[in-house]
Amino acid sequence: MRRAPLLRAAFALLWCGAGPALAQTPAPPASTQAAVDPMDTSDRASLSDREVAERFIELFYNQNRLTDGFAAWVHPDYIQHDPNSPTGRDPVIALLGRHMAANPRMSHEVKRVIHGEDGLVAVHYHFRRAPEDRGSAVVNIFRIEHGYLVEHWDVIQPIPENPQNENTMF
Amino acid sequence: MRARLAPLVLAAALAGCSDAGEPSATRENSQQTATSRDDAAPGCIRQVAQGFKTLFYDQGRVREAYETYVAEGYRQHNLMAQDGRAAAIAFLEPIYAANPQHRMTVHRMIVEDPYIVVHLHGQSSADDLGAAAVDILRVENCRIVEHWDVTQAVPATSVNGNGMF
Repeated sequence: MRRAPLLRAAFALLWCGAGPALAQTPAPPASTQAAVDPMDTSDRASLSDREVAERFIELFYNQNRLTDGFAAWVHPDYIQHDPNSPTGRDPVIALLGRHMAANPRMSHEVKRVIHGEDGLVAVHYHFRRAPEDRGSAVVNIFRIEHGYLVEHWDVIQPIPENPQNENTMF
Repeated sequence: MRARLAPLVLAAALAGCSDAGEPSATRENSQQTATSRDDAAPGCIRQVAQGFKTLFYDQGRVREAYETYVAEGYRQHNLMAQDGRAAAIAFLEPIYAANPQHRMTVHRMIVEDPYIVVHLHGQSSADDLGAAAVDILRVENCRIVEHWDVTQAVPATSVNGNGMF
């Protein structure tokens, strides 16, 4: 019971994302990609919402640097809609630090990222606490404003055991 | 409460199936030459999104929504359901018939070709806590051809008081 809120918070925060987006959007030239440090916020004011999302996604989902991703790209007044997680950036960072320590083998496999209007981005991903877990399907939606992630919603569903089709949840 | 939630969630899930673009009349009006799929896609996905939202999520007109916007062979990633438009209609219609107070409230949509993301609240009645769901629909040739979803029961209490939507 004690662990449940933590896990949920983790799912909630784990806005992974990037599968199809990566597959569909032509990737930047390798040289350009390599040149971008996802922790670099010095050009925050000039970045597009998409670029902010991409840097956060790289840190948080792809590199499992959850607290780094939050410290760099989440606004201090971040509005949380996950019912099991606190609102505001710093309480979430504290939670994520404990989550990372407790689940060093976790992964966030981003399946698709959809960028919309008004700074909204959806990340559809497969969360697993360990490689052998069936895990959960998660969609994180966040809103980006002035170079920061300012608001977050999510839906989390454990992957069922007995599927009626062979298509997988992703 | 619990028992009723499942069908609703499923319904929401299936809502996002696949197929069908805008009604032909609209397509003819908006695109003089619908020969280039690439050219047509950016225009029609918004019409598909709005049209399917109105018919399916807002009005609950299952068969009409699916026959208008969903492709016959749409691919289903909700693991409780089976592939195909006919299977979805056959699945959804009895649920709607048995739950006349059923409602789906769309809180936000994110559209980027070829995807439509629908964040919604499904309830079996006005006082049901219900479930939060995200449907992801993939549109091809102006029809919804593939559907993924994630659903989660709305809890009675929240740590932050901001609500799930």
